[in-house]
Amino acid sequence: MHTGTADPRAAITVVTDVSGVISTTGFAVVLGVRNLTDEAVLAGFGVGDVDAAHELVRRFERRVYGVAITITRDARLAEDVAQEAFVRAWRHAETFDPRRGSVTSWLSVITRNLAIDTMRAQPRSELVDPDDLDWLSPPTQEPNPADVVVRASDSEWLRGALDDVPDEQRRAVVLAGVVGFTAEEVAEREQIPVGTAKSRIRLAMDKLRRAHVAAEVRR
Amino acid sequence: MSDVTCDVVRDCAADFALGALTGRERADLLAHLDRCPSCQTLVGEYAGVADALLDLVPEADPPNALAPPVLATLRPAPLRRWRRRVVALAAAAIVAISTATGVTWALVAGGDSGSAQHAALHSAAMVGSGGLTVGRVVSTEEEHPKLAVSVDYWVADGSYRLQALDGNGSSVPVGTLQVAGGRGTWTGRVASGNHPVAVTLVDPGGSVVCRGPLA
Repeated sequence: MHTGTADPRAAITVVTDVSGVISTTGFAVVLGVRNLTDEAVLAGFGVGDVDAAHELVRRFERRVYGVAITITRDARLAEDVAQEAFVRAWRHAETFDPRRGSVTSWLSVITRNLAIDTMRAQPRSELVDPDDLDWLSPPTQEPNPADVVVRASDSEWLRGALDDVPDEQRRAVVLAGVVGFTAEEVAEREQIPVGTAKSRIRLAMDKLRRAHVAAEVRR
Repeated sequence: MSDVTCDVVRDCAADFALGALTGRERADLLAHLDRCPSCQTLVGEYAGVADALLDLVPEADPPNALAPPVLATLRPAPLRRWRRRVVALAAAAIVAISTATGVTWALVAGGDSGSAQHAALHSAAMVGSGGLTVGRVVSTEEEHPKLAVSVDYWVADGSYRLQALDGNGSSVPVGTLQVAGGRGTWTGRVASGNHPVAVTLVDPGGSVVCRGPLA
């Protein structure tokens, strides 16, 4: 019954059990990779499908590079980090659990952690300037419609909640949560005691958590 | 932090979510989370905030396309990995073929179809009440087949027994599938030697919630 032809690139043979119509190659090709969900593309990427790999990078390279350049502030470092993030995603694709979050978030966390590790190896003077956080403000460019959907559904609550957090707490939590600063580094940058830095981070996180829970209830 | 209590978790959950704990502190907290659902919820809420913060970071165009170097890194390895990744493919197939029905997939263990070992994959929709497709099931065609079952629609959150039905009409329990947030997956092997003709998901009251034919 298995009469299909193996494609050595995708290493999958697809044969039909009814009509004999399907004739070829990897699942991404058969099903039209651009029609697959993010989770499906990641799964295909994880098992080595070249078309899925192309598609995953196409969908997420701007997101991954955006996180990398925000943290590293260096185009060369950011490019290295972004490439390594995709390689790490491939290695650990099996561990992705859609119940814990989206592919976007998963890739963003991988990228953030890699970027932070990279920056830890750099001279401290190259760490991000906390005054350079203008991306916290609403975007001035006309956004991609697809991004609008994501932002509206996933992060609108956060932007609103951050508006209600005092400036000093907002800066502390963003430096810690996005840029990867320790409380000690936040204290040094903000010229405040370490205890105050910890307090600001925790107070902000608690306010955001309450807003997150409220947003989940409203959904 | 060896004796982690719920109070301790409440005090450091935000730091945990932000990755600010030491390895030892993190391990102790994880040990507590293993046995404390309420703290799992709390930490999950903080983790949701930490993840969402990254969503605010603006996207940016890389100066050079990332696909070529990424693919160059990956290309030699995937073909080697196929030989031991039947289960991984089954899991991939579940999500990949959500729009396809009635297709049998054959996984070839290498690029040479003439000499390759292979295991066929059967796939079918998990069908619930009223003929509603609520997920997918994929199984290998071998003596103790591997199963990968996913549901992503309509099935209420909770714990469900997964059963394999053989051709004689008897059912064999194969595992427990947890549905959370409307989604759940289970992968494992059927202990029985007979290839199942179907799998069913059974709720705690004993009612069949959905069924996936494999014959």
